Amino acid sequence: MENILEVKKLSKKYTGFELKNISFELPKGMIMGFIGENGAGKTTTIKSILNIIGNYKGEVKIFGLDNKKNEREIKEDIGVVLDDMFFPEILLPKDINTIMKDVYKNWDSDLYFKYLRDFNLPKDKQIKTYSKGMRKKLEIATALSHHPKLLILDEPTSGLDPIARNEVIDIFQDFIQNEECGVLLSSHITSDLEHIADYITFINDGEIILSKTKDELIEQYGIVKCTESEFNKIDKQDYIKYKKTKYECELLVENKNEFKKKYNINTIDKISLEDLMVLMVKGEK
Amino acid sequence: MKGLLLKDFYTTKANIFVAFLSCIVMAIGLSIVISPSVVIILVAIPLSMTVSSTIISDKKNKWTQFAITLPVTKKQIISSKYIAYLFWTVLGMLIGSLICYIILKVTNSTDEYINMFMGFSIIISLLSGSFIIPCNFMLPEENSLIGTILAYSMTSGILALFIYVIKKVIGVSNMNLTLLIICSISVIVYLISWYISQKKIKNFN
Repeated sequence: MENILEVKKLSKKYTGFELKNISFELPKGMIMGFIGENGAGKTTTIKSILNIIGNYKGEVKIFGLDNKKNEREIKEDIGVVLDDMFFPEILLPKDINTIMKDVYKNWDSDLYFKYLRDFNLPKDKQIKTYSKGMRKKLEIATALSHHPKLLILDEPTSGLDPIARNEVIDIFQDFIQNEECGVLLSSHITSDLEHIADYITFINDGEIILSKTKDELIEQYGIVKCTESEFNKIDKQDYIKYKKTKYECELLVENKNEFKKKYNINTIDKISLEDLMVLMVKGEK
Repeated sequence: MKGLLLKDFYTTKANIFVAFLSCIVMAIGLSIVISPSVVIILVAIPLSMTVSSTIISDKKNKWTQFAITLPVTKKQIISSKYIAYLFWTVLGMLIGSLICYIILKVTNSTDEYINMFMGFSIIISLLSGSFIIPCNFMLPEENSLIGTILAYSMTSGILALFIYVIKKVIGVSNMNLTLLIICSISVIVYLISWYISQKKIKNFN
């Protein structure tokens, strides 16, 4: 499968934080959920991919092209929603259309105004009068209106009510029907990702600790619930992380079927992305 | 590039209208006391300063970081500010000259300082712009005002120094020729600032 985005050995140092040689690939026609706790390095990774921050090491290829050498060409085909970064609030949505017509070769005014109508966004009101949810929808409408091939979205559904989130997710799913396209979606709302992501990439403390298809994760990974005495009999190599509560132990296992065969423990729950995040970050080894 | 300039125009149009009206009122008042041609400088400088305010508001809104995600280069983002600054300076001078002309016609008088205030408009706008634009890009928002004050102080100092050197050292006594030389130097300084800013300003975070 051809990749739309390739990140190889990306590293970037700040005081007190380091992105450590991260690598992952997003194949065409797929949505990748990019998860991790606050400060894990998601936004730094996205900013490096977009070449917003300088002085990073490593290689980023988008549509098979180097993101630094072919920056302008690449950006014609990328739609971006970044957390808290957009047009000045004094502008009107109709001004954005006039501006973007001169920025993108493929800007589609009809499509932009269609999104505004679909999202119930008034085109003659200043952005500062919009609610957070309306603003987010405007950012998404703007990101989609030049027929991009790759969407890079940092928290695109935060601040949206469940109905608006559903609308937005439907739009991303429609977008991915074109198999030449791809979506990199960073979000804290793991339920959204469980709904639409094909791949899950998990970053923690500047390192990629997991990058797999969602189906692999759901089929293979599991949470074992057992007593402390059962836990003491389990080989350390057979689980990734564990968490002890007052009454039971929870273990994150990579291959739940093999685990079941080996230990004869039947309480193995299907994993959710939220459980995965919590155990990966807060669990002990 | 046109999109970037349009964005700045839409961002500042409300402020420009208010600033423009205030300048006109102030300039007409001062023109009675000093000279009608003072209007030229009093309209040109505040209008060019609106570019400085757009750089500060871009930082506040994180527009510059968003702009880098668009198919525009960092050089274009910087150049758009230098072009807008020139545009507002020239437009301010034209409007100021028109108002000056109307005042002179209405009062049926002449003004011997027109050339001097034209020259000062170019010199002060371009020299200060050469410092203010890069300072606003590089300094944190809270220090932008200090950068602006420093730029105008430096401009006044440099202007006084140039006049002294040209008059006393080189021996040019004609004021118009002196202003022409300093105007030319200001244009060169502005172009150098533009070139260096494009090359050196890389971090918009």
